[in-house]
Amino acid sequence: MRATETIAGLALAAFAVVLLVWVIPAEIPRGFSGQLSPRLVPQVAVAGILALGLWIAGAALFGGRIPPHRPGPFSRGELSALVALPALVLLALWVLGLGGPLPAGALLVTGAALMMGERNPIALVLLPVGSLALGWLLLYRILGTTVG
Amino acid sequence: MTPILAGFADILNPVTLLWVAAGVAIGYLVGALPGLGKATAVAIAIPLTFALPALPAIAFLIGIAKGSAAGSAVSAILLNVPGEPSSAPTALDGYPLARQGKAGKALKAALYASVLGDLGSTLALVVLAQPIASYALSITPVEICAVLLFSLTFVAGLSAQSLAKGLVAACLGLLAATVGLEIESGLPRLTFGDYRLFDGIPLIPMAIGMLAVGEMILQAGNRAALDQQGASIAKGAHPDDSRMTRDDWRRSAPAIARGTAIGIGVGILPGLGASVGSFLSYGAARARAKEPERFGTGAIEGVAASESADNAVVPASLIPLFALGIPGSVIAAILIGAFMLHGVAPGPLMFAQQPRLVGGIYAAMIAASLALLLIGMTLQGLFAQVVRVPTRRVVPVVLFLCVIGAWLEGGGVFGVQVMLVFAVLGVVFIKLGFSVVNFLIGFVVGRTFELTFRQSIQILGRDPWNLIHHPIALIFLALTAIAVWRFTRGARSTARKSEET
Repeated sequence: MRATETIAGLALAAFAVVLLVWVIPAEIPRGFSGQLSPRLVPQVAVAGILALGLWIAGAALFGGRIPPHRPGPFSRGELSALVALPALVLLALWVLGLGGPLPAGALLVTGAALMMGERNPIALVLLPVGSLALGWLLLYRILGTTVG
Repeated sequence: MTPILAGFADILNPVTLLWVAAGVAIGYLVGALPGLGKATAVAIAIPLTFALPALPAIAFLIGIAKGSAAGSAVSAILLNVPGEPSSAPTALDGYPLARQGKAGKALKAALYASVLGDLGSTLALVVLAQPIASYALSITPVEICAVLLFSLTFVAGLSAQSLAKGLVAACLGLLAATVGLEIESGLPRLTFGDYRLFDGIPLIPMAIGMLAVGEMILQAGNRAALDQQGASIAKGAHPDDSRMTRDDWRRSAPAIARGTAIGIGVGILPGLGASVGSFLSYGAARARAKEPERFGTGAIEGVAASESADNAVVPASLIPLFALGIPGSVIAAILIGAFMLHGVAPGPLMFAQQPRLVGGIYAAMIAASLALLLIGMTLQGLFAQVVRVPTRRVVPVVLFLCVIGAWLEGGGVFGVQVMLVFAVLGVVFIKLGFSVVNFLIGFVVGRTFELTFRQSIQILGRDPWNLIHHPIALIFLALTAIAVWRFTRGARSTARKSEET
């Protein structure tokens, strides 16, 4: 756990340095003379992140105290879900552009149900049908808007 | 009091009461849907009131606002998906309670706190509207900046077990809030050339991603363990798990009273919004708790604190609207349109020219608070059935609703993309022990904080000694220093105890 804390702290510090040295100067103009610079608050926030990142890493490396929250590593299942669930949503968005909201919505709901371990065929049919009906009612009838 | 009594007489007819009840019921149901907040609900309902007289129309719209503010707790508790960002702190303890089989208790605590907060704030509106609103005119950006700084110290307080990580999360939230066009110069910041970021990162897709989709990713990753838990969480074994016990009331009553006061204070100050109120109230409840470590694991007073403040903000934000014509929140701004549509011009003249209508509106608001209690109790039984449905069937539907919510509030595909980015970030935050809530507080407060900070520097002429002319700001700065000292001391003693064990 100490290694996780150290790596997290150092990663934060490195992130802050990259922001301070490259990103903020490139992405935020200096502003106009006589006004406070638009960079002021972002720089203050990033400086805080740098200092705190070093504090976290330093406390884990040299201090006796480890924060009471001891983070566990990602399990294999969590890592797969971290990739699979966003990928499913992105796939549904892609299908939305190709085939419209019905296949996209059905893919999203059925895919998520399968991912969660649902194997009952009736549920696999009813879940997308019910969700799409709810979505249609909400978007097209009540809100008077569209998707896709 | 005569106009108010006359207003009560106007309200006490079946048709107007029906409109009040219909507004509360619709608002409660819409509020329970993730991503559809009270502002959206009221905006959608305005056209429905075209054919109505002024009083039933305004009563209907205010009923929707009140109902949806309370309804947003339902999805926060049952699904860990806040109906709107101001209910995010409710999810912190409400969802763990639901997972422990105490969904009924959490829903009741949220409803009672909502009704009490709402009613208390409505009474404050009735009694204090004119004097408080006149005083609110003397609040300058210097005072608001000091109040926000004070609220940001509660960010540190919320994470007293790991102060550094809490502050990192808050700083990241502040940084995220600076994305978009800078308000003073109009120059783009951290947009990487993408025009969709010019208005900043949309809050609702961000909150849905970090709180709801992040949780669903973790649930999908641990579904084997979840299936095993399923039977035990479906329903609590003890009848006390579904009701508020005397001990629950003892814990919740101070949190509700404090939350109501905080909500009223935040509602009166223009621009702060319900999210600041609920987060502040949650932070205050935790800071004053004898066992702060219970927070986040199912503390009933956490739910009560958050919901009382969230609901107290709605009526309080009408105080500057009614007395000065200044909207204190988005909902008040939308209501101005509805008022004008029905021939009512909010402001000081409203009291002189249409006192009976003002009395009627006050009466309708009190009636809406009572309707909220009855309708909430009726619909809660229905909503509580959700926890009995297996997680593998709830997650797909909730994910679908999350995508719809992010789509609507984030302007289409962009909103969904934002939701996904912050879902991944949320999972990383949770696994590494960084607080998602602190990040959201930093983000919510960030824009107003930066604006008032800049204005304060100009008002003070870049000379801190000029603060002496702003005693309210000085009081809040002193409170900030005290809060930092107390939270730092709290964090040290927690770490020491942890070492000893």
